[in-house]
Amino acid sequence: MTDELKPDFSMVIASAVHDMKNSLSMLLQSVEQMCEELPDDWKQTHNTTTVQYEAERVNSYLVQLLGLYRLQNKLLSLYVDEYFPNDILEEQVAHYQSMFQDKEIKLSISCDPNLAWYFDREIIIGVLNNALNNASRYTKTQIEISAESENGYLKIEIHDDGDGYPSALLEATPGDIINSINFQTGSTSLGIYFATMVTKLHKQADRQGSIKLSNGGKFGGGVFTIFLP
Amino acid sequence: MLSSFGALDIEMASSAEAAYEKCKYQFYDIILCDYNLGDGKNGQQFLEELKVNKRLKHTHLFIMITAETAKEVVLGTREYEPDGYIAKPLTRPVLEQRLNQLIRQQKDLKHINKEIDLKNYSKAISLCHNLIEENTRYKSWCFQTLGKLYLDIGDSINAVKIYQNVLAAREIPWAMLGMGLALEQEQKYEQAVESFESTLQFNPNIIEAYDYLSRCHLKLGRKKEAQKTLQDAVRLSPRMIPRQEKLGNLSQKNNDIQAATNAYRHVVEYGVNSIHDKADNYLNLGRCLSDWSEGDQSDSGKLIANEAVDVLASLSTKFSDDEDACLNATLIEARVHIGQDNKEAAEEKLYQAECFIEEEDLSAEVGLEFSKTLYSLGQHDRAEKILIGLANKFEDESDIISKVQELLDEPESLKERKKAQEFNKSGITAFEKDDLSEAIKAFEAALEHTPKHAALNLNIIQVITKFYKKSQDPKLLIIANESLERIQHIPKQHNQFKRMEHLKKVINKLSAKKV
Repeated sequence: MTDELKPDFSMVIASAVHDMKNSLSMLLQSVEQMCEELPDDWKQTHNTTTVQYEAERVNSYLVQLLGLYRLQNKLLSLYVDEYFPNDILEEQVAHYQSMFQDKEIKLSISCDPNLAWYFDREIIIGVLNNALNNASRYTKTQIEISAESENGYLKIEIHDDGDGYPSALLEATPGDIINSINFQTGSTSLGIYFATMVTKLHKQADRQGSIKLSNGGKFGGGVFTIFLP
Repeated sequence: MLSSFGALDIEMASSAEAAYEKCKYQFYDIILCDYNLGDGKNGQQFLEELKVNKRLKHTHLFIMITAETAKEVVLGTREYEPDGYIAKPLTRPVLEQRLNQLIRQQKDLKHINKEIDLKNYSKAISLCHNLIEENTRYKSWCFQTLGKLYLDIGDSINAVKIYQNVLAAREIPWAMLGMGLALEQEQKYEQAVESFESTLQFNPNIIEAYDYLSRCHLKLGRKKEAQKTLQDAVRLSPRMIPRQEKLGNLSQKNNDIQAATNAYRHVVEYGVNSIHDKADNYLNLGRCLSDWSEGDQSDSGKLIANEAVDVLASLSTKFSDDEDACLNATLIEARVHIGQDNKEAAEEKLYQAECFIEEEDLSAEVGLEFSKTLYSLGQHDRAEKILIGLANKFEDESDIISKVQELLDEPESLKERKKAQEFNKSGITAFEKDDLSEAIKAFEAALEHTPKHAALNLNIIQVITKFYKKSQDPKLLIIANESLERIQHIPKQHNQFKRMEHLKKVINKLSAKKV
């Protein structure tokens, strides 16, 4: 077999992921439609939201995989425009409201509604989505998302009251993260790697975006921070 | 779902065609549209149709919902500027939230958008300034709108002020573009080019920047750069048909037949179902393919010739009502066959066309096509007669006259014309260096390819008038007279007519002296 005939495996995966994403999107839509038809008491006892949110987690993984494939092949480009962080946070809260209600987690926002910033909407939503998903798994009773401008950066923080990040993760570099996939715990840290890579793409003059993991914060749990120039 | 958000009057349509029918008779406050609408038009084509036909006001919302992440789809749709762009999968609370945000913004800005719809630009400008004073979240929207309004009314000075102000704080694409447009408006094309180039360096996905850059290159006479710039744009966003048409046209002018063919191929392919699906697209593609395949009987040449025949055939089925278009298609097809050395098929097609042609009453379009085909079949005198007839009939229409002129000058194939152009160029260079005998040689070589070219014949005569004074070589006058003979037929509308009259007198004088 010559070199030319060998399949480019990452491309094979990428196109499979693309297909999966499309069918998952159809699946999600049908699930939602079905759930609407169900009687209310059935919905409560059978926890239908779990179906939706697990499907969405898969979706967000697929989005990240595609994103990373595009990033590696320099096909990922940003569509930076002006957005209101408060609007986007409210959207995320609306999105997760029913799941958090089920889990009895309190979710709140602290952000100036008129604060405007420049970034790629879909990409940053992807990052937030993942961070919120993650926080929801480890927090105990509450999560707060805050956004403010600080020293020329937009700073978005997600505080939870869980046990915080393990120290190995706090000290890891993006390279460590992607190589430390742990099949036993099911934590691939893919989300953190994705977040690191795509926030870095946000540039303004000589500054670029980044993320930070820390412990403590408002509730003494984990804090996930995004900085965007 | 929507009625639970509080919408009172909801109508649904299952295709873009059905939706457009509704939009023809009524304006909607909000249009929610999926990109993928099955067969027929897609969401982008629907939005385009609404915008082009002015069925969307500034006070309305058009929101595109899409699962598509392919770059060309995303970029293409964004070019038509929907008010909102929502990615799938979306859940009900998110849709509700997004709609509320968009509706709120639309409501808060309605008083300004209303004035823009009514074209009360000065009123809109002062309202924007007021809103900026109030320090709301719409500051940046106001600056962007102000810049556009100032450009619209031709006040580039104030537009520049706005953009400078914004750019001082941050590199923002719309402000970078606006700055370039203001420079272009002030006819500072070189500076505008620089500005658009730096915008593209900042972000190569800002598609409009390519259009503006190309336009400025053209204003500076740089046709090749203009073409290259548009090619960069269509590589990223191939679905914008007017841009592809522009590229096809420009490439044809640059004699880059392959680039022109590719552009017209896209025009035809992406034009299907859109408002741009016209017979002309097929004709243009047919012409390019015909030129490309001419005289090339290799397998690849045959393939292109076959493609031409197919394209022209699909025109005849699709636009069977358009008599002129079908006639032109038949005439082009005749040329395709002769290009493949199939004289019999070519003559059959010509005969087919002739049955519908009345030579005394030709439209300019059919006349030009007809004479081009006659030339390729060797019927030069008949072609010339038709062209001269067109020149007289349409003498006030400079477009048509220049096309008549081109055909009279160079009825030969594109390949021949290109060779002639090269020799002509080196002839001019030699003449400028005062190397007259070299210049004559080059022009003679050029004339072997395009013997009827008026300007070329006159070029050689002009060199001869100068050279003859030195050498007194009688052969030169013979060459000059031969050249004059070859272009006797040009009509008085031809742009070289006066020059010919003048040089004829000079040569006559020189010939008289000799005697």
